[in-house]
Amino acid sequence: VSARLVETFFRHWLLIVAPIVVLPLAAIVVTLGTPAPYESSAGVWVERSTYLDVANDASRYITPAQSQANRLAELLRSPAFVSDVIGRSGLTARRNDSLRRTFQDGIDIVPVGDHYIVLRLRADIAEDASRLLNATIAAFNVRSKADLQVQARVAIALYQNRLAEAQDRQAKAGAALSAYLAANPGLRGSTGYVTALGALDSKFGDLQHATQAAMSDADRARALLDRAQLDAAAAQVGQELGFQVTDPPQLPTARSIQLRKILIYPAAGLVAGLVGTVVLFLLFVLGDQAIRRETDLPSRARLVAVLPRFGAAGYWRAPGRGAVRRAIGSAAAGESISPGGARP
Amino acid sequence: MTSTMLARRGTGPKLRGRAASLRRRVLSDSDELFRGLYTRSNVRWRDVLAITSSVSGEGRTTVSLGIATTMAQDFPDRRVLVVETDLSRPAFATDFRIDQSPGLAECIGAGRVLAQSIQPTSLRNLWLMPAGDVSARSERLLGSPRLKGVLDELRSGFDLVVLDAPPVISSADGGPVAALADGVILVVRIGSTRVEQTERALARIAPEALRGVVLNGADSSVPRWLQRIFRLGGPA
Repeated sequence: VSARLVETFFRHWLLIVAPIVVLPLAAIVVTLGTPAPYESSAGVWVERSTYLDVANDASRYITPAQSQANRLAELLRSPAFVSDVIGRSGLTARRNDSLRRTFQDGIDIVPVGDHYIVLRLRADIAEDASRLLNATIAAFNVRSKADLQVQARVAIALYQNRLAEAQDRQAKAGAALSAYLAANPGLRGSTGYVTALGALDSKFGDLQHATQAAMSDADRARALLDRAQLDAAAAQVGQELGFQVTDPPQLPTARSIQLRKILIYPAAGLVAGLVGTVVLFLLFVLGDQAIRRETDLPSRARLVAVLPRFGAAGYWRAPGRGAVRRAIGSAAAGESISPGGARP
Repeated sequence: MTSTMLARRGTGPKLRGRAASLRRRVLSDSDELFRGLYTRSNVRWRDVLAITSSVSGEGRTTVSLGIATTMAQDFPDRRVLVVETDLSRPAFATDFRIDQSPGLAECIGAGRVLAQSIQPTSLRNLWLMPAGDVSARSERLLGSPRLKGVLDELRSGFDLVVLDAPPVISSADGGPVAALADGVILVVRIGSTRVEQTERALARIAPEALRGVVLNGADSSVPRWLQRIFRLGGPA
């Protein structure tokens, strides 16, 4: 088997080796032949949404940066969002398709730390890179604000409901306490303080505790409602702390060096070439049904001679069709043999 | 008289350059090989020996000419004839610049005199019979019962008749021609003929007539040092 594999390899070595050489070379040529893009980058400080703990993040172990980066990455898959970004960029609509491709291929969203996101956008035109990145940040900011407002409205409504319920419970508890005191005047002295008898009355104690708990709930709900209203107001005026552009996008002045591209493309070509080489080799081995040696002959075939490929070695080109046949036939015309035959 | 290939070669311009180099190398390599081939094939005098293959292009004519030329040179007293019976792909006329006609086709179809169809070579004991005019009816000619009569007549006039026969699979004539021969040698092109084709070809040749199989075109692309490591057999 090994002999057959070796023979197959050397018989087709040029074809077999070709993918492993050609594909990385092609990748290098393509990489070097493609002009490097312009890259614009920006840094954004983000915070987790604070209204509802369960709003976006299923896991508490995801950092705000990861959460927002995932959210932006998902939004960029939305054609409507991308259209919004392109519209905000002010770039001409006739290049809509190429701008969309720029988003698909050229944007990187990298969380750095817990709260910091770095955005990079590569484009063939420097202005495109910076304007699209600016537009992306603006669109995301607007979208975040809008989401924030929606969440704020939901949160405000929720906390208003909670406050109303707490206030209702507080009113009911207060009424029950007042009614119990009216029915049992001995529980409170003339000065209004609870007497020793009142301190020993368990029902009175329960009513007091219920009233205090309802008051606490109402206070807590009021505080949350105040905070939600404050955040909503902050979001509306664009001063929320949840999304701050710390490093705004700049207009790139030079093309970027794509080290990753220079390394990855040839490496990918090499891997693809390896796969191609292995596949070709297997195809040659498995597809070879030809007779190569005596052992390949059927059992009843008695081998009487193995003739070499005459005249092939040492020649750059194989002899033409019939050349060997003519050479053998010409043996009868050898100079040592007297020429001229006669009919039988 | 029709000028023969060899007479023309003898008097015409000599082979030069690559063709001459190829001829020298082939001839230096081939004599012993064909000598061993006809020895192991038990070729007997008065035999009609068919050289056939599964499909075209496997080296039938090369082997036919090699055996005939070597035997003619080794046995100057014996008369050897090579008959081109592959009427669908005649090669003698163009390869050796001889007249295509008259030849075997005229012997079978038009009843021409055999002697007119046989062309001498510069070897005094070697003759060639080309395919003849194969423009029409060629496929049916070899199925004619007159072919046997022609072969019997040739057998009586020559010590050895070598038939450059059609392939037994790709040509309908291959089987009938092989069936008329006393012995059959099957040529198999290494790296080209498939195992299945060889099995089918062998099935169409009578076992008692099969003299052997010739593997043609042995070559190895493996460097010699690797051949030693893997014990790869080079060309015999």
